[in-house]
Amino acid sequence: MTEEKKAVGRPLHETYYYPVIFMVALTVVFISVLAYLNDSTREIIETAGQINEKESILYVLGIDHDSTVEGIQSAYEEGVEEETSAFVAKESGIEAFFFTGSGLWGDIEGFISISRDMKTLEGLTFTKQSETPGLGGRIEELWFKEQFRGVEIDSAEGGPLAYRPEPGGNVDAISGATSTSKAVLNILNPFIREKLDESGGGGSNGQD
Amino acid sequence: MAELYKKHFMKQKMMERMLWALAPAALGSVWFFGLRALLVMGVSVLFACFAEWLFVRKNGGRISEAALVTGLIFALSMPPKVPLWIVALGISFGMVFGKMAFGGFGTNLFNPAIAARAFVYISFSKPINADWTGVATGAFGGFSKFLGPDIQAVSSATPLLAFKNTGEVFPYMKLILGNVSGSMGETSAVLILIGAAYLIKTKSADWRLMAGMATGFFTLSAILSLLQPELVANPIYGALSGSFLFTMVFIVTEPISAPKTSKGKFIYGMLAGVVVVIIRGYALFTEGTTFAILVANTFGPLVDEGVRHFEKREKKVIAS
Amino acid sequence: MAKIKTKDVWIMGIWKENPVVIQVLGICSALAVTNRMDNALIMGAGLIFVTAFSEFTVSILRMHTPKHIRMMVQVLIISAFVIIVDIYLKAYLPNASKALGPYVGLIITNCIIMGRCEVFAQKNRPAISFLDGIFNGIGYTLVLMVVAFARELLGFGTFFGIPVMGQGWMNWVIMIMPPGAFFMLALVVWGVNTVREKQETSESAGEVKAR
Repeated sequence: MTEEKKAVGRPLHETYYYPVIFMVALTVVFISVLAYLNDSTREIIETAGQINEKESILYVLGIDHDSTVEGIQSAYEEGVEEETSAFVAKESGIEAFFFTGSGLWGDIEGFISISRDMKTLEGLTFTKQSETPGLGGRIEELWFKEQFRGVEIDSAEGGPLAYRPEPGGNVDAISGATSTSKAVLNILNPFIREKLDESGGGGSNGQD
Repeated sequence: MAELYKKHFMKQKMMERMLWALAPAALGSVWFFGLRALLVMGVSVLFACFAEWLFVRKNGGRISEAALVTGLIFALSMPPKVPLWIVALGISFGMVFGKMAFGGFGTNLFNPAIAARAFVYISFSKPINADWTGVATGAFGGFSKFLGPDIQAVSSATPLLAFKNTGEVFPYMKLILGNVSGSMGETSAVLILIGAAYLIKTKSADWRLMAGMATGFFTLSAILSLLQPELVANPIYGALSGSFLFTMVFIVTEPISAPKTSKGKFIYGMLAGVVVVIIRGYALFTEGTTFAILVANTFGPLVDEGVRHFEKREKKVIAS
Repeated sequence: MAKIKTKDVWIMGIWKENPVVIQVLGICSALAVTNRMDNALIMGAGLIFVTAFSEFTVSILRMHTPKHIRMMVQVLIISAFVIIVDIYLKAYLPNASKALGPYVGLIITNCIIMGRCEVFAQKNRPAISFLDGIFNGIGYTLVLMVVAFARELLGFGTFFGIPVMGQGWMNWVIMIMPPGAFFMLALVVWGVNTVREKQETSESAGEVKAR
């Protein structure tokens, strides 16, 4: 039987190199399709990644913008200057810093902004957190973030930030999420103090 | 009444002794926190029995008296003001998933009371960890009151919270007697130790388990409290505050989820004690006994296995 | 081989051989993405797409695929479709992509797809394989939706993000966290199997009587 076949020549799908050819051909087909899809969506994906960060920075700097992709892009380009350690609002001189630290279940990352004279907080937002959804996760809610706007930095004793009703308290904790609330201040207070020290104990802008 | 009880309950001598041992702490909880404590205990025990009955009724089985113990232990580990529906839900969950799902009495891998406590501890953070009531005062203590006064300053409500948040330390005498706010049955060291003495005397609980947990806890917190006194309380304060003693006497000693070998019991206890210190000092949770017991429960069978393996090898070496 | 009817395919996929509840496949993602119903729905849609098209493609190629490399071929096909889903989500539903995290990419390791390709698509025609993929995907999605419904309702007090439990509702935090998934899924599997058992005993009892 085999000899007979040998004489005639095997059909393609019985040759020993057929699986190799089959696999290579299939791979080429799929890869071309994927490469095409990847290439045509690359730009959308890249901007989507950056847009989130830019929106956060605009938010903490207090710059108004449209919530569309283009609106965010243009507002960012017009209003924000990127420096080595900070993002500075061109108009108001407010500086936004990236911070990171540990929360209850995982790392918390975000941006915080301080006024040019280093005396008031201008904004706070979180870009990454894995706190308990519905409890600690509420740090992402607007009411929690908004209350940090305009807080005077030297106003609290244990501060700069402290929760009410503690002496010198200037913000509210999330009820039922004591641990996360505490973690947020444990990250922010040393961070703000460090920034104040860097700028020479407040008063003047380190970037000037 | 007695007939009805006999018909539906399995008699278990060990569990009856456990109930007697819990009695001082239970009475103490009423004295310190008011008559509502009785209500919490009632609800907890009732739902514990009901949950078990749901599973055993088909085959005409009877409820183990262990269900009474589980219900009582769970109730005593709750704060006095806890909403009753949380008690009912928590204990039902603990009985179904911690005990009956594994096959009922004698086959549970985890301590059902602890499974229940972990469930409510994570789920209902505010009522369990932040709504404390003060100790009831008056000639008859809590027996003439329904519930003690509310405490507003949550951050320093209980001995553990106070240490963690402000570094403040409660007077030791209060911790020993138990007239501080905290979970219902866990505040009074002296009442718990009376129970412990009874358990050891009647051989209803293995002293190795208690000794193991105490050793692990005291050794590690002695070392760490010297190195980082702001994070870890000194061992005496640590042992007297929170639910450490209660856990050591009534929970780690639960014979079914604990290892069976003597050495295994000691190692198991140590593991629980060590984890308590670590969680209290370095995690954001205030109390670590719940998770410590869950961790120890998980490793219990493995510890037994390891000890048996080791002992077998030793014997072989001697024989050859 | 006996011809397989369309009706059998959907009964098998959704109920009699439900991939999650009966075969206990695809558990990893069923646990991970079920804390919100919208996440579960998107994940389910992704899986339906991947399973259906993978089975379709495998079935088309089944006559030409050398038997000893068929697993490689299946993995190649499945991964291609998974990457398509991943790219689509990243580009057009970035929030969903972020919420689902690595689990989209992990669809590739979902045993349901590989299992169906090997068991069904390898032996059947393309059209019916496509249907089989869709119905198995739906079976998976339904279980996910049930689990997610209970978890979201108890954990957030919401239904697809809409508050439904009223003011006094206290969230069961553990339900939104990973342990909640284990408990909920276990309950669902338990419930379904109890019902099935009853159904089967009554069916077989009926057969005995008929004789």
